[in-house]
Amino acid sequence: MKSFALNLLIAVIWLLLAPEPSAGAFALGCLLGFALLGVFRPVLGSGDYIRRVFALGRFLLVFTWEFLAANVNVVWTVLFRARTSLNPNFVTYDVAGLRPFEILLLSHCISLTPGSTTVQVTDDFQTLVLHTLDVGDPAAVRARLDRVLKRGILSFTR
Amino acid sequence: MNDVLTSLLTLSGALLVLAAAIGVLRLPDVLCRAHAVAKALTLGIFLMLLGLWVDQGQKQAALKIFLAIFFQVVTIPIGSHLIALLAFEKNIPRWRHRPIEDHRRAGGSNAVPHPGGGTPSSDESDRPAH
Repeated sequence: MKSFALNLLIAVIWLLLAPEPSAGAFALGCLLGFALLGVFRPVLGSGDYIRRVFALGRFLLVFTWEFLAANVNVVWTVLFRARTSLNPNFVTYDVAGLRPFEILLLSHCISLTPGSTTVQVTDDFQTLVLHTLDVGDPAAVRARLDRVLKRGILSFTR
Repeated sequence: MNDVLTSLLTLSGALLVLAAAIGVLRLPDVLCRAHAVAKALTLGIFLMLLGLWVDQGQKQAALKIFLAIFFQVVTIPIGSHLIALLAFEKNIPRWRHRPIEDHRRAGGSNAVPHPGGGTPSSDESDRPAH
């Protein structure tokens, strides 16, 4: 958190030094601040912050890919599949041990990835109820969410 | 170059919104329709706004369009989630009605009782989980 504030501070200072303030200058300032934090990692103790930013970037890439795949999937389903070939059902997904913020993020991402939408978070914050378009093997659905989303989100929130 | 990019983005966005609309017409039940709306509409509006941003240029549009994109991308999935939640709680008839795939049912207790009246429908309680 302290490292993030420092990064923002460097970006603002860079913005004040720029000939005219613009979004581009701010982005450049953020990048420079990040580079500084990376170089002076041992002194500032910002190693964890650097790791989280890279984890976030990797997750965003994976998520964007999943999001595009979801759209291709939806368009194909909508245009070319007969409704008799659909096999939708509810699937529960275990989120025990996650903080409420992580559950929020996870459920939002689930709504945007192929074949699943979030339906309900149970009151005890232990279980998500999802709706999937094609339940072949519910264990496979859960394993895919584990692999693609849960691990990615946990890699930058913890 | 900018014109081509703008029309490409706007057109593909409009086509995705069209796909979402067709999905609402074609898919069998409320929950499946929520899928089409959540995904195709989000990316469709995202692409249309991005096209607008390319067209306007950074000077005029600046951060306003990014703010619009941010709120659209955040709120559309939540809207579809709320629709699905309502359909779940009201126990609206769904396509191929089958029991919930509960990962804890193997442990003995069905910890997610289906809401919408104390007695679940017969095929909900009698048939074993696959």
